[in-house]
Amino acid sequence: MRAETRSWVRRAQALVLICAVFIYIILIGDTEFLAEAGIARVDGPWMRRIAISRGIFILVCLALILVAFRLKLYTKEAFGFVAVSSVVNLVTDFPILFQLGLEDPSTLYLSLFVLRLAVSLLTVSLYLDFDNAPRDRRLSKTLFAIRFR
Amino acid sequence: MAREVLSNEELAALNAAASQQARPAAFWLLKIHICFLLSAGVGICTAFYPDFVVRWLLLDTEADQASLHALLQTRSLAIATVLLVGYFSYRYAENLKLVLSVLLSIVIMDTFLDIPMFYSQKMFAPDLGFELLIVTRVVLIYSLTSVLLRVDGLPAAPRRFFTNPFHRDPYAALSEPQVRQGNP
Repeated sequence: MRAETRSWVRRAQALVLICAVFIYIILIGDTEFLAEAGIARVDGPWMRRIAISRGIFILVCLALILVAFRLKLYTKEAFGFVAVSSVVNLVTDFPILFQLGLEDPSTLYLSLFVLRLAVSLLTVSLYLDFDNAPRDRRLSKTLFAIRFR
Repeated sequence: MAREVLSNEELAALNAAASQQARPAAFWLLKIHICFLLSAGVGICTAFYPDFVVRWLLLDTEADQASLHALLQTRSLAIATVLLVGYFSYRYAENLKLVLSVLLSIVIMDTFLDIPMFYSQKMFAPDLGFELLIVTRVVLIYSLTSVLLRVDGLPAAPRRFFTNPFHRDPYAALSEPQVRQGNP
């Protein structure tokens, strides 16, 4: 595998991993732990609904990327859609992010904020660098592989 | 004249090539105007009448009002940005396909994510206004998709915006110097 392709796959793996972390935090995570971390002040049903809808949206985007990547169906367009979505969401959700703890941030909250920024940068980078995506699209040999041949 | 210079086979080949040339969507300028008008209407409502919007969406009792107003403010700024980017891209951008794809992605994503954020209460008590809002969203997505699918057939930049859109091909109704000029 070429160095550029390996770099592309590593970034894609990082993206999948970060998405999995967010899905865990939003949909599965222990609320007490999250409250201690200062990132889950989503007591009201409205805020909770928004958080859950974001979690489901990440899940859908992740599934879209994996399916498009594996089946070679509009893969670049799928990455483009996810890139635009993540960047626009980061901007338009800023008031909620700010209210949830950016005014008095904990370390974990800040790291999650950086991770969210990383998601946007990674998706944009994967879209712009799509020419270096691997031709072999088997997930076990690319996105879910630890070592490459 | 051409018949004397070109053979029948060459003429047939030219005709075939011309018929395969990309054509823009019918009433493409009308669709673009509709997108601008709908977006501007929603933007004006959220920017200047946020209290009315909150009350109309039935979010005035349960939602976190500070966050809600901040979100509406951000949304109106986002719409204003999109309108400006959309206008200048339409007028001058060479690669309009990319811009339209980004805008369509934003509209589709927002349509789904706005359901839990803004429409959750209204969905349980729908009225004519809410149904119109849904129709607005659908028309917006349809218009953008329709123009995007045949974007290669649009005239080259700079394109005219303020011209009569009620033609299948608005540029066909203009004279050649007007088209080349690009400005009304």
